[in-house]
Amino acid sequence: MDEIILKLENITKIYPNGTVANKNINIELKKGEIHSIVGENGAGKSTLMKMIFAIEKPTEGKIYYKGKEVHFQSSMEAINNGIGMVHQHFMLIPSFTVAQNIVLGSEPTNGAFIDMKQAVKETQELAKKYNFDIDVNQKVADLNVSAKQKVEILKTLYRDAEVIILDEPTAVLTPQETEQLFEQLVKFKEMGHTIVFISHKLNEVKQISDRISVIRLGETKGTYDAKDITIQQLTELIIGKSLDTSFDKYKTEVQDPEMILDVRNFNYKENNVSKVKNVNFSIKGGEILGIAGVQGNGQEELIRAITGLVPFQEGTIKLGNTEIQNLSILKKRNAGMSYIPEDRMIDGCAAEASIQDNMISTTYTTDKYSGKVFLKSGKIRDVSLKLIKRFSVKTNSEKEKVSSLSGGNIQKVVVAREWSTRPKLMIAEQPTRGIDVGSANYIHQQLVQMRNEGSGILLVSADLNEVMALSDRLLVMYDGEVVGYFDSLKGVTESDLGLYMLGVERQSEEELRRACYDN
Amino acid sequence: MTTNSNKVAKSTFKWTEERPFEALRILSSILIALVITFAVLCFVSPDPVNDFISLLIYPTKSSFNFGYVFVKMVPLCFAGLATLLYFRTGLFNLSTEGIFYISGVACTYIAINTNILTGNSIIDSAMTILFAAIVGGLIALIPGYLKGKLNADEMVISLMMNNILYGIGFYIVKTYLAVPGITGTSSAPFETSAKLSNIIPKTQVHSGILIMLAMVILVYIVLFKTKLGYSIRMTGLNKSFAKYSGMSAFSLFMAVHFMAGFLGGMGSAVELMGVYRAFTWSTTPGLGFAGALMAMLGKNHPIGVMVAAFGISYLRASAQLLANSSPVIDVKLVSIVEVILTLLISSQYFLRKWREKQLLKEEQKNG
Repeated sequence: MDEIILKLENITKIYPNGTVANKNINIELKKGEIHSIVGENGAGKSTLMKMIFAIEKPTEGKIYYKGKEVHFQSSMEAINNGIGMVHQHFMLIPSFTVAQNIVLGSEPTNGAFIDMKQAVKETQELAKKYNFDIDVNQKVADLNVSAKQKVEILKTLYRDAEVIILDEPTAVLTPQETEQLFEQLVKFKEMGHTIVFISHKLNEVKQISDRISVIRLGETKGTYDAKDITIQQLTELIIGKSLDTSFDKYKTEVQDPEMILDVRNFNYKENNVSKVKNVNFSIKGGEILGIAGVQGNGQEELIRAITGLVPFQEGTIKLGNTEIQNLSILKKRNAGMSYIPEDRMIDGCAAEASIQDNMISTTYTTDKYSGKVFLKSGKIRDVSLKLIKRFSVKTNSEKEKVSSLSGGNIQKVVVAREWSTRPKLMIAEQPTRGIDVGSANYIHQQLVQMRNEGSGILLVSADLNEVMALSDRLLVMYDGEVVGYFDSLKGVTESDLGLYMLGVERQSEEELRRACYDN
Repeated sequence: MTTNSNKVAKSTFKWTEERPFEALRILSSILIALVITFAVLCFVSPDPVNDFISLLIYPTKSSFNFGYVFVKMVPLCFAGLATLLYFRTGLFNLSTEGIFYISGVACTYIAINTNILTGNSIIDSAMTILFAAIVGGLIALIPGYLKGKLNADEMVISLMMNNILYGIGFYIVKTYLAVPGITGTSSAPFETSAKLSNIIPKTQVHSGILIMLAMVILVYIVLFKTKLGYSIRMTGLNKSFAKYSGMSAFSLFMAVHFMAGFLGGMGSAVELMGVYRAFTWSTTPGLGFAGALMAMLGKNHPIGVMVAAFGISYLRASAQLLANSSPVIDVKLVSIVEVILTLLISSQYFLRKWREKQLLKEEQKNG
């Protein structure tokens, strides 16, 4: 039973841009166990899995598989050696049947042709062997999410996977479906498969795992027997000891703050699945309202619908005294909204354009930067230079491409642009994700200063330290709902919040209603 | 483990830096294309060295020859300008081909119609060209609308539209404009007042080249100095970013399509009024597709497009002029150069390995 099937020894991964994703990772997987790997977002779990699956190569360190050192050149080789992976985003062809999807790439053949009958027979037998209730002749497009996941798992089993990596498998499942999945995983274990289970949901991890490895900031923080460790202890290991980075001493009170943002009865659905349920809150000038929560619990949808990146559906959103829910992005911005997006490379900048061009994207139509037709290039240059200086963006010239900057400096460009309109409302979504400590600290100071000058700030972050250090008031979201509200963070600990973040606790409606200012 | 900071020391000239590297890529592409052309000549020509040299220098032999390069360059440059507007917006629209044809038909309608023409050559040629340009602009709004409102794939739409426009255009030419009794399809001859005048004696160079220069400058100004151009560039570089910043994709798409269609239509009319004596295109002239080539070779920059149009026209003109005297040189020979150039210049990976190796060496040297 204690045979080691896969062993990672001192794995270090440094990306070409200098990001250290993993540092001296040591993990041993035993044959026939369910081994969970937990850690915050950006802790390095995905990179680690990519290295096992040969999508990335480790910079240093060794991977042993069945006792031998291996250097897989491609994921194909990893698959052929019995390693399977079920990605978070399914890799299926919707117009193919279940059977076609399962055999894809290693189809049974009949001379030069694919033997579909044989394929159907084999997949049916496979489904039966592992007790999957699925019709292999159905088109994948007609399946629900949990059935699609089953197809993905069958795909790995069809290729005789001995080690199956599941990346956040329960993120898309209902509790009942999760239970069903867990029953199956236990069965796999009994049949000798090794399961690597990656998840944020600690109660699930504790329930299903034999052993748990914790990764924080790219390093392993030990492997523990699931029965010997409490959720409380796990939370502490994942989040780490909180640094004393509170910004309380820099904060000043704003006199007679005005109402900035008021969100009522907000609901949002995607493909008929409720993503945000009845969210209510308000923000006044001179305060930072934080939204904490494990990623994927509706924060992203909430922000994208408030800012207008996805169509608004239900509720009311007031900015000052105007209802803005149905306004265009441009009008919302003109009404005083700024937005630091979650992904700076997708929404936040045009990487191949100059810094200067990136500084004016939200303001170039204003009189300051343009006339009726022409841009005022001298003015644009002056302001860009000022912003570069004010936000200490490290660069040689305002004409340099944004893509030549480091992550932290790119983020500073984004923040500088959003700051430059002196917004009433600043929505900051993961404002310091994946950037160096110095830049992060600088951006935090800017947010606090904006708060002191009377802006209302909505801060969404999966980084608990960040929301706790900055927020005046705090919401916790779980599964699309607000489950906790704190009007002050005095005396609130990470583990208190952790219980709400993981859905273990939930406040009453009366308590939650305090998140709105009724005026 | 220490990692290098993100600072780049800007002291000495290095081929690995962005602009020099780009120049190096283009130069080596040209060299490779010419070497391959030479190799092909070796197979087909009894005197490859001589033929190769003539191909390279023939246009400089007389003012007529050199003027011919400019004549050939005008429509290519117009088509390139039209296409670069699409490419800059991130649209792979190839409808300039069909626009060239239908706008040509439109300008023919004016240019042979003595009821409309005034007899004043400036008014008449301006009217002819503007009419073609506006027709081109309006027709280009169709794929623009389909893209903006329905998110239809602009490449498929534009390719299908090329066939439709050709069909409609050819029907109009056959039914209403063709003159009976002439072999092939031809309209009545264009009125002299509608035609563009010759501006350099002893050559075929016509005033269309001045219009072309004006358009190169105009496109440059629009692209880099105006609000519209800014939104074109940002949308092309990152559509999500443009949306996030509050730009409206629909009105932008409509504006870009109109402008591109306008330039295409104008290029078609300038070509017909400058070079032809009647409308004789019985198939689409291939100039619109050449526009995509110019945009790629010219790196989507109006000046670059003009340079590319000159370079390609130089070779095309040379081959065409030589075709009369040499049995082995043909315009098709030049398409080898064109294809190889496009392939190499548009491929992101060409010479990338080399650059990475050089960069790595530098890193190691600097520790």
